[in-house]
Amino acid sequence: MGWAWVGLGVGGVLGAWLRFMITNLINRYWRYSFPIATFSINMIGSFALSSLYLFNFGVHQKFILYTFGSGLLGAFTTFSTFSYETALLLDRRAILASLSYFVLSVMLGIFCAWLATVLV
Amino acid sequence: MVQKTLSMEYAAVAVGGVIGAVLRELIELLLSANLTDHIPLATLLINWTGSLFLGWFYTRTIWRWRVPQWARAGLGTGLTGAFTTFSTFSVESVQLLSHNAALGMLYILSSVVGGLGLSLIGMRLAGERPDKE
Repeated sequence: MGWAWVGLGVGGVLGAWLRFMITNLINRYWRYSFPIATFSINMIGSFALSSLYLFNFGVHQKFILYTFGSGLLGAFTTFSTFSYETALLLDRRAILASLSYFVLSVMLGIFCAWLATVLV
Repeated sequence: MVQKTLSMEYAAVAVGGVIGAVLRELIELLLSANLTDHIPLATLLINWTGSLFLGWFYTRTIWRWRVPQWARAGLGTGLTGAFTTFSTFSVESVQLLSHNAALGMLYILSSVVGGLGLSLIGMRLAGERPDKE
């Protein structure tokens, strides 16, 4: 308990805010049914979280992982919106968008996490 | 008016974000087995329940319940969005795949197919559009 949990809370707020802001901003200009906002957020977040785990922060390890890992990046990326958007596209019979969003998110998300372990 | 509505939404997303992130960490701590050859049950459970809830909640608040936009943003984007996590899912998938490819594939498929299915179930549970009935 202690500072790590404070960091987790602050990270959670910032991550959710950042996602909300980016999604609102992108949706103002994006005119296709492919959910590019959530997609980009989840790809960037997967790469970033995987990178974070590669560093050793010494005595600050727990604080950094709670704040930036579970807090910021955990709240920034979202699995439920990914599932919901895929389901919504399926429901609206936008099969191509739904299927490409589903497959690309999973494969590229895992690829981004793997890429970090090679590059960083 | 627009400004006020928007700041209400940001406040709600912030409150939801804290609750979602803390709730997720508590479940991760409770269920963590610290083993590399096991399916990460905590994340799986978190992402499944979040997908089910969001499908139900977003649909229910379109057709049946009139709730203010900040409530949708707070509970949906904030709480459920921060509770579930895609980055942890990706990282755990890579770790599990490198230790046990079969288990890794099982984790990935059950996460994404289960999440999609549960979101669809949530949408159905919320009911049809009123004018369809």
